[in-house]
Order: sequence, then structure tokens, then C-alpha cells
Amino acid sequence: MAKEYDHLFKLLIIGDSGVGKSSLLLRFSDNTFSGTYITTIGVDFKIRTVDVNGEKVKLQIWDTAGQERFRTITSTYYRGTHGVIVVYDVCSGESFANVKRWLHEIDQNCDVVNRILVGNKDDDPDRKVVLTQDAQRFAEQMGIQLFETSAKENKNVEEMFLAITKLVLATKKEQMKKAAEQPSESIRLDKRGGGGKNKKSKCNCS
Amino acid sequence: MAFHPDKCTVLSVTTKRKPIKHNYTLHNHTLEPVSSSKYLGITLQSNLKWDNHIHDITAKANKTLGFLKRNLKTANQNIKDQAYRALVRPKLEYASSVWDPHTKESASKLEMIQRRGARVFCGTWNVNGQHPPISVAKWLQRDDVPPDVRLIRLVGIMLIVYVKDPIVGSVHFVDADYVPTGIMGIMGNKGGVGVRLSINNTSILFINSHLAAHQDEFERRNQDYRDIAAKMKFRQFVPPLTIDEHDMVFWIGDLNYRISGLEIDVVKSMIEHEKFTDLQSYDQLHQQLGRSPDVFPGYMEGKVLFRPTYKYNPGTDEWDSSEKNRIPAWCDRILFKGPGINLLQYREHSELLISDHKPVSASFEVQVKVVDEEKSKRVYEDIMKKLDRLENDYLPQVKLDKTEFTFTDVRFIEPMEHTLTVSNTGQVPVEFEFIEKLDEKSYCKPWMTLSPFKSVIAPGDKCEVQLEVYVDKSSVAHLNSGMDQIDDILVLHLAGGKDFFISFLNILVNGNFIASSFGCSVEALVQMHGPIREIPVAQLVEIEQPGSLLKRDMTQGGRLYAVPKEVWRLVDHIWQYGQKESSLFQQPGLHKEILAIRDCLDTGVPDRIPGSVHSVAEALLLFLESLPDPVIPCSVYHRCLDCSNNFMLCKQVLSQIPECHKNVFVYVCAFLRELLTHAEENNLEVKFLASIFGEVLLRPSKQPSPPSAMGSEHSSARAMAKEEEMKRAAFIYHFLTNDFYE
Repeated sequence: MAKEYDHLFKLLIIGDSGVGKSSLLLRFSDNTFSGTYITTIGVDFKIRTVDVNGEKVKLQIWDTAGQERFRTITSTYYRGTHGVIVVYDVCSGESFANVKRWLHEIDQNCDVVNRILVGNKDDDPDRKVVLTQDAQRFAEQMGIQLFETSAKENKNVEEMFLAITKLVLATKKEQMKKAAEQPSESIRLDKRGGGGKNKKSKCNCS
Repeated sequence: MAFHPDKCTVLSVTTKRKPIKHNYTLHNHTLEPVSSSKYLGITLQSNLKWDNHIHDITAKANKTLGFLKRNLKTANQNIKDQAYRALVRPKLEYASSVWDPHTKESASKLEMIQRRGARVFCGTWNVNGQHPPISVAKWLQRDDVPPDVRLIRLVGIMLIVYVKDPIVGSVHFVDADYVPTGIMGIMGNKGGVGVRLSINNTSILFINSHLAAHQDEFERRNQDYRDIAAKMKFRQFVPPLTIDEHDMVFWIGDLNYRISGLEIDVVKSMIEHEKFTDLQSYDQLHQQLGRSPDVFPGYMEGKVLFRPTYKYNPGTDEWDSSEKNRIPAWCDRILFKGPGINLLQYREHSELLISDHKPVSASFEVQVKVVDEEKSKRVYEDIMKKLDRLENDYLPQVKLDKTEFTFTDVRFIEPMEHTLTVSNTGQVPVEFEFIEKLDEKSYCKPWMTLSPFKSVIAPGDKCEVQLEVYVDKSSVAHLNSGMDQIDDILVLHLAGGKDFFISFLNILVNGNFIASSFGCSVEALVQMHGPIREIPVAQLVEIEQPGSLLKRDMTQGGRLYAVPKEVWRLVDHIWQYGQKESSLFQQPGLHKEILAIRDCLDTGVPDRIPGSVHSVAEALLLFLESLPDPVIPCSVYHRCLDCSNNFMLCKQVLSQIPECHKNVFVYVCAFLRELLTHAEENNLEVKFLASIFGEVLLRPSKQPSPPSAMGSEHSSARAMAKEEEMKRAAFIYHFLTNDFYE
């Protein structure tokens, strides 16, 4: 029997309330879309396994509540995350302006993590207020890849999730390579030397 | 739009055995009723099956495939592949989403085309230990179409598998194994060797075996077969692959089965007359094959229409003329097993003379399953998606009837309840639990209780969680001072699943707790001139700030009460109405009356404290207990215990505590001493009062003692607690028996 998967990654979707985080997840996991808005009160996850160059990558994708009052609680869920998807609504300048805060949130709670910026609801040019070039410029400044998606029209959703998966996979391979190059002795010293109290490792990227 | 009536037919789709017949007409033409009709290139049937369509397209595709085979015989693989994809595949796949074959028969019919393929040549020759001085081409190059897979067997049970260059890329997982069955079951003079490989998605196994010799030893030969069949394993695979797990098996070699039951002359004569079919019925293998369940079960053999291959005088075509004078036999055989094997040729090669055996060969056309990469990827992804969906469906799912709760007008020691209904809407039992968030120690604030806080719910069932807000003496102080508010977010966690956030909404700035004098600090209380309800929240927060009393003295020099008016009112009430009452501080008060007393103190009305004197006595104890910092401040608690055996030292400690605290202490003690002067009526005992007030006036600072499961530690902790209790009582005792100002 083949193994169920080669890699298991935890992805996190964050962003302002109502930008379509749950819709993106639903589109990716169930290929469905519901026009009715249901606020996420808590955190939920879905499973989806994808094939990246012949390797089975199982994704556990966490969808978080975007509401301000849950901000401190949701930060708990950053632990152990390999990749974070920061979502804004291309029809809401405010949600785009808040991206900076979300990125800051990631820096506060994660050590090593891959990030991707997503402008969702990119399906009505008349309502679009966050211009692609502005978002692109900002993404380049922050060193993040930008995707403009529409969960409603299933535009770029698959591509976006695959892109973050590839990033996370590449990071893992790089780390494995580094670990393999280092003599095992020194790794042990690193781990024990700090007495486990020097720095809380918040993101584990094993 | 006009239709041509001749080009229209009626196809009625029904499951009825006696369908209603109706003549449809078009332009005065009666339309012809049919059972199947072609529409947009798809053959529709009245029973909605697709056999006609599948039959049509397979026939068409086969025709084209035959055409390609004839005309592209010499073309290279690539061109053949392109031609197949361009000309055959579209015929098969056209509109396949409509008629997608759902019956096994239809599907395999279609798959057949995608299987067409390989040619296998098997040759076996017991060369009797001779090296061939001659070309073996006559044995191995017999067919016009060269085979794709070639197998040779030579001396000492050797097996070589050749694969034609163009298909090397499709051959994978090559592995070999051998099973000796010779002398002692370990020698290699008899036994079998096997080579397995996969061509595309078909696994093929070749076995060459030399089974036990001698005319009558067919049972030994059978046993050799069984040994090989049981022991041969290809260990590249986990678990190792057995013979029977292959799609196709070709079993060749000197199987050594003889012709028995006929005299040698009869045999020879039958051979001369080429009565091979008759002769075969005396062949030991033929007699058992397909009849005996443990001799080559499932294997087949082609018709043996050639001369026996054993035993000749080496170098000649003459039968064995040695002393043993052996009966001729078909020792050398080629058996096969598995679907999709088509035997083309089965023959011996008598022109090769060097051995006492003649070589035998067989050609096969086999159908190799070729997997369309694109299609397989799609199918694979579909399966992955289905598995993922299954996993997602089996995640615990619940519905909550509410995720937001408002508690309005929460008051001190007045419980309020809400119910949260958790319904299991998923397919699996759900284990839920309220969990701590962030670095908090408890899953909820101290003024709340959840019952149950964890439970298991069966699918379709529900669980009602009681959420109770109850502000008691330990949580009231923070709510009064604005350090805590009636708002919280609970995290309801489903084991192995999602989390819900349940909010307690905070409507007013200072929560929605109605402040009470119970739980205010002595410092704040002595600054409060009116009842607490008349004091603005902001001012309450301000006077509860540490050091507010000092600031007030400096800036305003405002009037301060010597003792909080609430303490005075309670004490005065007991003094007036209960000094001669027995069982004071022993008989519990009524909860309802205590609430009324609370409101009376907090609002200032009515003038006279309501309720029985026992309720007032309990309210006094509660009031003192609710002080965030007790009358004897926590900071001097341990010093008080240490000097509890010495009145002078106790007095010294008291002189160092804040004035307002000292006043309350002295005031309460004076009151208690006064009560004791009426001991004859109220039966109060000094020791009892000392012990009761030791508990309320002296309290250690709140630090949760580490719970210990160890029995001995537990008992020593209890002993320590008991000792502390006695010291507290002793401390108070001094002040109940002596006047502070003496």
C-alpha cells in the first residue's frame, strides 16, 4: 500500500472579516460556492490532498474568524503553521489597507513561514477599487507573491493554493537539505544548549 | 424551423413492459417508431443503455486500428502513437461524458482497445549440457513479426528475458527469484527460476523449471510444481509478490511429464502417423491439467501438434537407442495463465540436433494494459478528491443555537443562567470541550460556570450546556473596580475538529455589572459619601485606584469616614436588634434577605436594614470577606500569625496597617466585645467568635496552593492549614479579651 501522503502541511487563511476566506476554502476543498454570507465564529479546517510533481501533499487548511474581537484568540492558531494566506477584498480599500496589520500579526506569531497575498472577489471590474498594479507593487515591496482570485467564479483559486503549497514544500526541502549538511552533533547541541527556554519556537516547520 | 419527416423517428423511453403506443405525426406523415436512433453521433436506445453505442464505436475504432496496423507496420512507435491518438481515441471518447460506460462489460470492451499490444515469444530447450556449436536463430527467429519480449532457457535452468528496445521504457519492476527442488530439496539440478516484470500496467512472470525426472515419478513432478508455486516470491515488493499475483504467467521448461500407459512401439507408431491428439490423452501432464486442482491450476497449454521432444540420440533425429530405450515424451512444455493471452504458435524445432531434447517455442499476442497518463492522473485526482471529501465529511460537526450571549444587570451573588444547545449535525460522535485560550489558566472567567464543560454527543443528539454567571465574594472586587468586566470569549473545541468562539457581549463601558459596596476596598468605601449606586462609574474606578486615598488627602482634604458606613450600618443594626439574640453568626440568613440587605446598603433605601438579624449578621461576614484586601491586609498576614501568641506584638503589627483598616478592625472588635458582655442572653463564646472572625478578618493573599496528589503531603498541608486557622483565632482572641487602647 502506498503511503497516504508524502508531506503534511498546515496552512492558515487570515484577513479582514468578509473578504471571502471561508469561500476560498470551500471552493478549494469542495469546489462549491454559496452566495450567502455566514460569519465564521471560530476556526475551522478542511483537508485537501494535492499532487506536486508526483509527491502527495496533504493540506490541512485553517480558516479563521476575521472579526476584530477575535484577533487575540486567533493568533493562537498561528502555531505550527507552514504557510499563511493573507486575503483582502479587491472591492474594499480598507481590507487592503489592513493587510499590513495582518502581515505584522504573522511576524509576531511565526518564525519561519511562507506567505502569499490574495485579492479575492476579483469578478466585477466595476466594483474593483484595489488596482492590480498597486497591489502588485505592495506585494513586491513585501516580497510576497500576489494572486487575484474569485471564489465565486473559481478563478485562480486552485493556482493560488498550489503556489503556496509549492513554496512551503520548497522551504521544507531546503531545511531538510541544510539539516543534512550540518553534522548531527551540532544539531543536538543547538537543541539542548538553550535548555529549551531561550526562545519559544512558535512555528514548527518540520 | 421545418423538419423533414423522413429524417425524424420516434424513440420512446420507458420501463413499462407494455408501453402506450401513439402515432406521432409531422406534416401529415406518421413517424416511424424505433428502438434506437443516432443523434449527434450518439446512438440512443429506448432502454437508455449504451450497448449499441459502445458496440458501434468499438467496431469503428477496431476498423481504424486494423487500418493503422496494416499501413503503419513499419512506422516507428511515435508515429503509431500519434496516429492512434488522432484517429482511434477520438472515436472512443466522443461525447463520453454522456454515455460514460457504467457497466463492467462496456468498460472492459472499451479498455480492450487500449490494451492491444505486445508479442511474447517463449522458447525452452533442454540442451543436455551442450554448448551450441550452431546458430540458434532457427529456434529463436521464427516469426515474421519480431516479438517484444523474448525468453530463453538454457543449461542448468537458465532464464533470460529480452525486451525489444522500443519498449524498454515501459518495462519496470524487474525482479527474479529461484526455488531449488533437487536433491534434499536444496540442490539446483532441479527447481525453478522466475523473472517478473511489468510492461506498462501489466505484470508478467516467466518461470522456467526443471521438474523431477523418470517415467513414473509424475507425483514428484507435481510436488516440485507445488514447491515452486509456494516458495517463489519477489521480494522487491512489500509484501513480497507471489506467482498468483501476476496478471500473466508463462511457465516453461523441461517439466519432464511422460507418456504412460502405452507400449513404446505403439507410441512410436502413433507418432509416425501423427496421431498427436490421441497420443496426448496418455500424456501425464495433459491428463492432470485442468482436472487436478493442485497441478498447475489455472494454466493452459496450446494443442501439442508436434512430435515429442524427448528422447533422441544426440546429433540425430532418431529416438533413443540406448539400453534404457525410453518411451518418447513431451517433456518440454510451455504453459500460460492469465487473461488476454492469445497463443499464435506452439511448435518444436527438430532441426536442432545437438541435445537429446528438441527445443520448443511458442508465440503469443498479449494484451498489455496501457494507462493513459493524462486520464490516469485525472482519475487519480478524482479519487484523491473523493477521499478528501470523505475525510472532510467525517470531521466532527456541530451546530450551536447561539454564539453570542448577553447578561444584563448582573448583580453580586445573584446567579443568572443561559443555555447553549450543542447539536451534533455530523456523521461521527463529537467530543467537545471548552478549552483555555492563549495563556489563560481557565477556560472561563471566575464568575462563570459551565456545566458540563466537556461531553460526548452521538450523531443526531444534542447537549445542553448551562452557562451560569455568579459573582461571588472572590470575583466581585475586580468587577467593582473595573479591572474585570462581564465579557469573555469561550472557545468550544471539538476533538479533532474545529473551534467555536462564544462571546459574552459587553454592552456598557464598565461591563454590565451593577456595582455593589460588597467587594469594594476599605479605602474606596471610606471615600464614598452616598450609596454606591449614586456614584458615577468613573469615580468608582478612580477611588479604587491604589493610592487614591493618599491623593485625596493631599489635594482636597475631603472628609473621610472613619469606618465604611456600610460596616457601621450592619454593626449598628445587629447591636440595636440582635445583641441578645442567640446563635448570632451561627444561624444562616436567608439568601433573599441578604439580596435585600445588599440593595439597601447600595441604594440607601430603606432607612432600616430589612431582614432578620441573622441575615444581617451573615451579610456582615460576607461584606468583610468580600473586601479585596481584608481588614488585616494580606501584606501583614504572616506577621500576624507569627506573633499570635503575644498581644503586645499583635498590637504593634496593627499600628503599622493603614488607618482605615485599623479603624474597622478596632471597631469590629469593640462590637464583638460588647456582644460578649451579653453572653448570658446570646450564649456567644469568645473562642467561637475568635475563630469565625479569624477567618474573615485575616486572609492570606490569594495564591492557589499547588494541588498535590501525594497522601502524605496532603495530610501535612492539612495539618498546616489547621495550625494557621488556630493562629488566626488566637490573634483575634487577644483583641476580644483585651481593649485595644488599654
